[in-house]
Amino acid sequence: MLCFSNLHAQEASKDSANEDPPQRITFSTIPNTREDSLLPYYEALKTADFGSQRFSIFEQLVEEHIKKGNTDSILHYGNLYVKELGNWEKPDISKNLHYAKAHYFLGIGSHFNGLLDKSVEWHIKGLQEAEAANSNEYQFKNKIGLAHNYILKSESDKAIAMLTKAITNFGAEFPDQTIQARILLGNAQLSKQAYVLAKKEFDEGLRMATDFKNLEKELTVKLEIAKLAEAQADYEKAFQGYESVRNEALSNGFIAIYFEGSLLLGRLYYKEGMYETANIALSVAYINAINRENLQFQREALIVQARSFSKLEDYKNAYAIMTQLFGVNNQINTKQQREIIKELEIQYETLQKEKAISSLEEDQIIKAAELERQKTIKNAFLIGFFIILIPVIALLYLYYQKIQTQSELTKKQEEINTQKVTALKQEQELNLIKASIEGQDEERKRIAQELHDSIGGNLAGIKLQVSTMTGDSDKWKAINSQLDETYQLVRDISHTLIPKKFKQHAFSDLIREYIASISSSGKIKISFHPHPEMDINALDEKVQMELFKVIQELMTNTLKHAEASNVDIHLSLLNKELSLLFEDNGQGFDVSKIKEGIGFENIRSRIKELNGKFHIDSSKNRGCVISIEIPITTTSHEI
Amino acid sequence: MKYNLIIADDHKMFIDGLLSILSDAPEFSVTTTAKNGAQVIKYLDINGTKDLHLLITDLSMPEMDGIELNRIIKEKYPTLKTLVVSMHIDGGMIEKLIQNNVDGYVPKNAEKDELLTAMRTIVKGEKYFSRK
Repeated sequence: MLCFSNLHAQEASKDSANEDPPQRITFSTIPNTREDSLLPYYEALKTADFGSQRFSIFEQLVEEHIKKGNTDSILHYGNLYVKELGNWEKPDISKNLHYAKAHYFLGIGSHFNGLLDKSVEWHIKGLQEAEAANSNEYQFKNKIGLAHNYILKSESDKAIAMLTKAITNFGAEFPDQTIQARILLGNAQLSKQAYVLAKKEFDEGLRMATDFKNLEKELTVKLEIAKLAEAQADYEKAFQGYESVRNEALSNGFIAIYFEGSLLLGRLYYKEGMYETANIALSVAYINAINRENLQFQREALIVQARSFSKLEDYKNAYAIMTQLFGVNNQINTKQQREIIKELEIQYETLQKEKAISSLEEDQIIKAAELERQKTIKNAFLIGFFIILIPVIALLYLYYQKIQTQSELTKKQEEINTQKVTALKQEQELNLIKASIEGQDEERKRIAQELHDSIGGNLAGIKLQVSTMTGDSDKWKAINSQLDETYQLVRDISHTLIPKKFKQHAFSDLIREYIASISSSGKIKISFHPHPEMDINALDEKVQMELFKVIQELMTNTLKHAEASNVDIHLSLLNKELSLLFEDNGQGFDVSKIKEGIGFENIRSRIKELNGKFHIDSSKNRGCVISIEIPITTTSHEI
Repeated sequence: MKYNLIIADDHKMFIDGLLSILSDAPEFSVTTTAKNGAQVIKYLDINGTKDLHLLITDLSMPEMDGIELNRIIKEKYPTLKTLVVSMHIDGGMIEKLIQNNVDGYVPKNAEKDELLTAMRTIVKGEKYFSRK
């Protein structure tokens, strides 16, 4: 290929020498190295964060590449843009503007590659997204791109309608785009051979371009004006226009314009029958297009070149060019196909990814469900544990209480037992004393009776016998009186010996004696007031006995607990009711708190048997008053 | 007229004393003597009270004492007079005897004359109670 182009270059130099064209036209290849102007972008891209920052660098890079017509670069960054957008973790709404931009870039790239349908497709997508994102700029840009394609596809009316509307809608806001739109409008009119209208649009575009000092657009418009001149068969003007624009574009770095200028120039040479020159121009344009990988230009250059060679009847070269053209066409087709395949691949990949995502989501849902389940189980365990714990605690508490009450009970029982034991002991002692006293009494009674009855009786008998002898002597009289004295002595002795019971001692005396035995210690003063004493002494013996025991019990209590110094016992019988009032001046007790011991219990049961009433009145440090009332139905007169 | 007596006392010495003073009072003759009340009742049950006028009895005797004896006699043989001669001068006992229609009471240490007076008063149909 390089050889081939060199050959053409040599030819061209020959041509130019022979023909001596009116203007000197130079053709040269443009070095296609990485431009230094783009370096900062590449550097920035290396360090840029993923997301908006990177996207804005893409945008600027692509804009640069569009200016230079680097199709592959445009498509590369366009695709990268779309790809990174896909991975961008932002809601779709915020992605729309970026998609509008990316698809616009892809549309431009496809257009440069001659893939017009593809380009239309991208632009429509971009347009929709720009509308969704409410971006006027990209609506305008995409519409312009679309119109460009329509023009190339010879749908000029469609393009005109679209552009006119777009200019009225957005014209004022974006002057650069408006210039482009005017140019395209002119193009459209041109293709419809409406030269006057086209001229008008171009003039308007040129005016705006110069006004806004947009050199690129100015050159583009100028190129279009040259095209118009060509269409109007003003070849001289066209040639000049192409040449000047081409050169200016080259010197200012607008490579795309330079290409187009070169191509148009080549075509013009061809039209004018300057086939050799045309071939040289086209060859250079072709080489430059190859360098830029711009297939559209390559194709157009080759078509014109093939015709030119055929006109020159250089069929060998024409054939070679045709082969190249075929190759380029093929390349375009394969590219288109590759594009389709790529798209399919992308679709497949997206599907795959979606699947992966959905499976991931499913996994997540399953995991979440599992987590939820475990949580529920944990909660259930916890709740169950508490539910079990509460009755266990309650049971423990109850058990503890039970143990406590049991220990208290045993304590109380022990207390009661000791009380009982002491009471029993006391009773035993009392019984013992009683028994010994009774025994003593019995003995004394027997001795007294013996003394009284036997010795007394015998003495009486002796006295009677002696009395019959009194008449005999005074001595007997003396004996008689001595006997009488002895008899009296025996009686007295026996009477003092005889126990109270025997003597039928009164109940009141018994109590007095009991009191005397207690108060003999001197610690306590006891007074007893029976009233009326006679009636009380005449009470039934059973009642007397019970009363005596009750008094004994009360006395014991007082001596044990009260620490009293004075006790008053009132016993009175009035209106067939016996009342016992027992008062002490001891320390007293709280009636509501007193645990009625065995003593009180005994008294209660005794009084209950006599159908009596029992009442305690006491308070701390106020002594104690106990009153007992017993109804008396019968009194015993038996003595 | 002769009065027949029956004497009950568990002390032989007192009966002997009584018999010795009765030798000075010929109108009285002792039909029988007994050691306790039960013997008296047994004798009366067998022989009846015919020709018997007066019972002289002690109070404290074994088996049947004078109070009981007096009660039974006054119930069964009301015609037989009773004179109690006892060491006891207890008001309550005397009261009980009077309730049972005893005819007389004399303490044991009474003089010979008082005893005889009591006996004579009772057999005449009157009551005699010693002042002591």
